[in-house]
Amino acid sequence: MAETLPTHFAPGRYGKADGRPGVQVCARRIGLLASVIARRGAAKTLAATLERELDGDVLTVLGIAPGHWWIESASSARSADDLQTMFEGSASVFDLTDSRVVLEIGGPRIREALAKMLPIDLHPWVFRTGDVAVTIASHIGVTLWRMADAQTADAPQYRLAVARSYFGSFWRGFVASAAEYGCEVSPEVSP
Amino acid sequence: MSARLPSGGLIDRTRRLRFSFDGRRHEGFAGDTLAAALLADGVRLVGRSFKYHRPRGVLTAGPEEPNALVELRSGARREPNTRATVVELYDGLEAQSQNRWPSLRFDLLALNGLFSPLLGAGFYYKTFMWPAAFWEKVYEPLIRRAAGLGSLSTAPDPDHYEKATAFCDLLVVGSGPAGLMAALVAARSGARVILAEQDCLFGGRCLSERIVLGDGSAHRWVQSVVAELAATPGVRLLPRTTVVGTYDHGAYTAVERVNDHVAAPPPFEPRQRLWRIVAKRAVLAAGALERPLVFGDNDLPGVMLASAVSTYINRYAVRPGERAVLYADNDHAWATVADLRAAGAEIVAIVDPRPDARARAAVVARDAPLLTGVVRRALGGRTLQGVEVVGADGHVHRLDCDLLAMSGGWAPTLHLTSHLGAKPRWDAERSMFLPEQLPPGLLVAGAAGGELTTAAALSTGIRIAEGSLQSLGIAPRGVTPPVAGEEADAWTPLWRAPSSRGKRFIDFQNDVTTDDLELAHREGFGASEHAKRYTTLGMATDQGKTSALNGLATLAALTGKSIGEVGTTTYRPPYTPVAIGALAGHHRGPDFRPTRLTPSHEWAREQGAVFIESGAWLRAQYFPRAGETDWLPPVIREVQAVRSAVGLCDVSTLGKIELKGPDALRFIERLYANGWQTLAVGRARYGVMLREDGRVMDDGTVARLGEQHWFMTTTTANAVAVYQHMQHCHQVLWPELDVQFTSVTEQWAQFAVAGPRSRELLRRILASGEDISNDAFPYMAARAVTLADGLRGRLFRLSFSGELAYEIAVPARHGDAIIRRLAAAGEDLGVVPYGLEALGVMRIEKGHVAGNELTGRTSAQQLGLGRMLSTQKDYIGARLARLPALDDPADTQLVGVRPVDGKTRLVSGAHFLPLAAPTTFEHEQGYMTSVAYSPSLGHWIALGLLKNGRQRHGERLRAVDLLRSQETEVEICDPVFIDPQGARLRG
Repeated sequence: MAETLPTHFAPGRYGKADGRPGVQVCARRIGLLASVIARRGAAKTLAATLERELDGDVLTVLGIAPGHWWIESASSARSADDLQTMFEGSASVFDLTDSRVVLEIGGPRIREALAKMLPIDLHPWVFRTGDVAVTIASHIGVTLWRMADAQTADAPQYRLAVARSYFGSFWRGFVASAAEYGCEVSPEVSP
Repeated sequence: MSARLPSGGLIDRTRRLRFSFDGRRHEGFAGDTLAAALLADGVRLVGRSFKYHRPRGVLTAGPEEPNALVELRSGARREPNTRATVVELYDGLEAQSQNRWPSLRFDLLALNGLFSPLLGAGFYYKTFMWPAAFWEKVYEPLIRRAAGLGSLSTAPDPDHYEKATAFCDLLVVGSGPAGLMAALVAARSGARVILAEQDCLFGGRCLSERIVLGDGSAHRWVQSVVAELAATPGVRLLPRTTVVGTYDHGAYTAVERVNDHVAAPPPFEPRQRLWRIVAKRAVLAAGALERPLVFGDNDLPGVMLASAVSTYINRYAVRPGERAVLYADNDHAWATVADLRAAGAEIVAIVDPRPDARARAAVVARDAPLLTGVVRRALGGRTLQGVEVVGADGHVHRLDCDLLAMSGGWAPTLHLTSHLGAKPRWDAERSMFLPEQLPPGLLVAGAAGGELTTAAALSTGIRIAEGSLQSLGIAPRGVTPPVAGEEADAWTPLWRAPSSRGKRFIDFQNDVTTDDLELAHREGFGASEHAKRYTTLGMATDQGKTSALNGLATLAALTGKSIGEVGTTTYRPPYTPVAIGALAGHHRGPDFRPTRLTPSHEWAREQGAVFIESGAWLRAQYFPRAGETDWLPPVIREVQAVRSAVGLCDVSTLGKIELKGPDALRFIERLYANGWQTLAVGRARYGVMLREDGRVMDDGTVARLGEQHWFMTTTTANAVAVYQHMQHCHQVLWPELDVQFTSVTEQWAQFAVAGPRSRELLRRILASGEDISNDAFPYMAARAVTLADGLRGRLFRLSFSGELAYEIAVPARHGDAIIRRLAAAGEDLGVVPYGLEALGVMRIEKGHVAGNELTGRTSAQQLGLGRMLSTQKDYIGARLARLPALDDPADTQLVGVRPVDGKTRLVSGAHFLPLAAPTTFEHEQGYMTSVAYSPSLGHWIALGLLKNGRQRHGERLRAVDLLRSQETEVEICDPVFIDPQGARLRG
């Protein structure tokens, strides 16, 4: 984990120390984060191909902008170069695997904590499973997407990607935002 | 003597709270405000006024309070100008009165009152004119000491503040009868609702007045509605939350005082939270503010708004006086008489200026005298002892009393409707300003919209909410309002203030009297906005909540206009004062703004680096070693190490953009001024980018990694701007180009490995098969490489220092490991880390332009880059770059500068002047842009921009810095100080 995460990020309990933590965080191992941008005129077919051939348990396809996707995976079985070969002629692929730190965040108070940083509406009626937001968290660019709710949890689960150089500042803000609910940072790296 | 009633009120008598005021111990109950607890303990004098230091008491029971301002808490948490009427009591509360010396009861500066003829409106504009030099040193400090309100702690605020965003279908501002009904309709209809209430309790007037709703008290009804709201999903209740501003697109700001009601916030909880509420629809149900009446010495402690008297009795079980006079121009205020009677106070008289009210008032007055007339003057020293009343017949009555409850009717709290700029309309029939043009999505219900009775508030609350929901496509579910009793609401406003020997205060907080407004009018400042500036009417913490209407009425009388014609001043957010801390939120100290850390940050920290902000980045400035106490010795050492051995520098902060696609080359050709057609795969080239106006935008290198695969760098400072520029060019100007690009700045850790031994060092960390000999990997080569451990990276042979140099890039997560590996592998080669200072010195020695020269005002020709401007193609800025003005020898050109004596330190920003010419602007010929001490040459050097500079090498000039009073004789030279042929970097 030392290899993947800045030193500010350390497992443990932050903020309110008693009771069940309102916010739970664990670092996600990033085996692949690739930016896939459709070649001119290829966006429509590419969208269908991505969903059909990539989106699933191992790889997540995230719509970032028109004709622009992120392919995210904990596994490094496939590289950005592999994807470039796969989509030669229909998309340009850029390797961003090391560009972001990705956190898995959840817990019963996660929405309240995020409301202190993000200017967007995360109400479950509005921001649904599978939705992606390219937005800011206290002036820092982030990409947030909602996972399927965990079977055991009574709270939404999100993944949040933040640029590596900004992670220290982001993390200070996040811990401050989650402190009043108690924030538990898991030593585990997901998955 | 306690003024606490034996029973009643919404206080918790089982919880006694101790507090102190000016060091004296007091006790109150949970549920009290500071003002209520002070009144309960018989404290009536709570502050001194702003200018005349007159004794002041509690006027209101809400956020509009102009008088009862106190310093709350102590030490770093001391907070001036808090309104005692909204400060919730907590155990251990400490409060001090303000603006008095030596004590509240005996205030020497009350002598100001004797000089009041000299201290009228605008006195400081007129009185302290001579001698002018005295203003800053003598007059202003004296005035500041004498005037003003509380004082700041000046210590850092120990509490945490935060900001948050919330979304809803319907925002309801205020929780009186109208607000509660609106929220209930929306909640039952399944909408997302936010109910914001500035008080700690919901209910609005139901908390203060004895209202019967349905078959019980209004307070019981409030509790049942709030309970239902709290249990409804989608409803967020925000007590202690004041909506302070209306902004575009349904955005509102609100301040939630999360922990103002306790001595210190519990661990990890914020003191206050600033909400940005984005509401599809909003209902303003903020009620109305009672208007004081104007008469002589109407600021004496004991003169109170009638509604405040009722509030202290009904909500806090405090009797604010024993012998009371009611002075009101409306029937509504009669309820206060009943409240006073119930509280056991004697009703001395009811004074009513309306002849037609006599018959109706008789019922209320019972055995108390009923005087048709006006109060001329309040009597008393530090507190009220009586009033002088002028009857309709001209007869003067003197009444003994210790409480005057006054009411000049109600002014709707419409501030939020005006924050987008619309001015309210004067409704002459109802004698109130009402909103005319509402912000999109906002509607007004209840007293805020001029509906002053409870019954009307209930029904408008329902109706407005129903309409709002329907406009959102949400079907409203029916709510039946409780039956409200009859309320007397006849009102004939009394605007005129009777002449009096006492001061007739309009704005209590700023000590503005009718005389001040008359003066303002006489001197030509009779328009409402002028009068406000001239007299300070309506300024400071209360922003005219109790004074604006009386001020306008006075101006109307003076100018012979109607109140509507005079018109209000402009309403601006915030509605009530907001702590700067709440606006800053988390962003203070090191979190003032986000900081970006380089991949080698941790390692650099271990090396003892001194860091410097470079845009958002924190970069190593230099790496002092033991004994190096100043910045220059380590910089010299670092430069010498690079020039003689090898150095390491983190250059990851440069903007990095990767491009692909069949039109990538075409795109790059249009972006940059120089040509790229001939750039082979595996090679890099320096490039210059112009803006549309022909001036230089940025520079950097572009490497061709594949036939259709390019990698460009930008300066650190312009990384974001260049990327935005490229997006604009692609999305707007040339969407037809089949090119894809993305920022990869964060993906790569990139380190400069510079110096004659850099190749040797790199060989030690690269895989054995990587040939980086000069033949295989010459200057400006660029390609993927494999490191000894198999890691894939990229290697560029680029040099900013002028030495044999490389930049090695690895995926960012490996950056820390690689910098450590380079440092370890180069130990015997004499490797050193070097920082931004050494980088700067070496680029100045090489005459490379950077931020100081790329100011956005310089052309490529000026910077000596004119030959790069391609004539073979079109590109951004090509047309205007060919304007003769951009290549005018009369304009400045980049030059090198050195001190003639070979030792004087040069200063950046110094201006060039001829040796003989006088030091005046018309002789100015340019200026020094970048200076450095050159360890290689042993003296200071500089780059500069000099008129016709390229033709003037060898010429001597004066470099004049008037700011630092320094003048140096300098010689102009070629900007490249070191290795002009570039033998070293090609070696």
